[in-house]
Amino acid sequence: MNIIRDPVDDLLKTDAARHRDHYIDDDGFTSRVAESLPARASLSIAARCAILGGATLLATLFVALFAGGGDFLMDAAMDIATSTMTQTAIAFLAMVAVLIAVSISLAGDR
Amino acid sequence: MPPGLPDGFSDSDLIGRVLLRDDRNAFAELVRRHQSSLRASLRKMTGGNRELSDDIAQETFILAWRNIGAFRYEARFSTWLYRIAFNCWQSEVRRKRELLIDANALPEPESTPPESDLTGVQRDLRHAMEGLTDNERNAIEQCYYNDLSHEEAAYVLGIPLGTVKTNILRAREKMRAKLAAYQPHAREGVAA
Repeated sequence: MNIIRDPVDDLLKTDAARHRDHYIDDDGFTSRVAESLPARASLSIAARCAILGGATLLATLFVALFAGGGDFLMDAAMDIATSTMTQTAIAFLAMVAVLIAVSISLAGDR
Repeated sequence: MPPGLPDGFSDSDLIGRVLLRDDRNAFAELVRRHQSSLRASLRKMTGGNRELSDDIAQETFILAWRNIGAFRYEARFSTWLYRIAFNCWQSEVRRKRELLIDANALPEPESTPPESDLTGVQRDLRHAMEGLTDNERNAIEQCYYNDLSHEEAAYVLGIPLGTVKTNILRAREKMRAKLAAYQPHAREGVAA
């Protein structure tokens, strides 16, 4: 079976291969780029602590409202210790999940 | 062999070092590896303007350094660089158009190889490509000269895959008309 070849395709491939085979000497280009690299924007430790602290506070307020305030932390700890899944225990676990998610997110940003 | 090639670190390893440690040496190694292909691609786009293409290449690497955290490995690192470079080049074209109004006053190809340095085929190919629209030429440059798949070209150019395929087909059709002398039957005619 004859394969019909496109001569334009062949011409382009040949010219492109010649073009790619031509290596452009670095000639100080990499050094110039390296010297002009700015400081990469990343969160400072203070900012990370503030985000983590803020998230904790928010999570605590959320749980306090959700669980009706009071001794929810102690109640939740007791419920979890006795494997009793009350509304308070679920809210407490939700708070822990939020903290873990924020921590992973901050770690991933690095 | 070009200098500065593999020291046992893949591009992914180097990117990881940049992300984890802000390692400038690792990034410099990435620049060293990809500078030739990127600068060659930009020289093609800018019509051979070395100064402008090197400026855009430098801008591309600086943007890559700033945004490397956004690199999601959805494409090869080199393809991601081509995408940034293409966007930088498009911004440059828009900026020049706004400044000069006249689209013909786009960056002058200061150091395009003179016609006398080209073989007959290369000269004819260059002329044939000059007759293409920007979109068609971009598709040809990405798929042939940067050796990208249609999918990768679509990613670089930020257009649908079908549009890339259409542009390639149209471009080849136009070029076929201009390069009729290279068609097999034409050669036979010349030989006869």
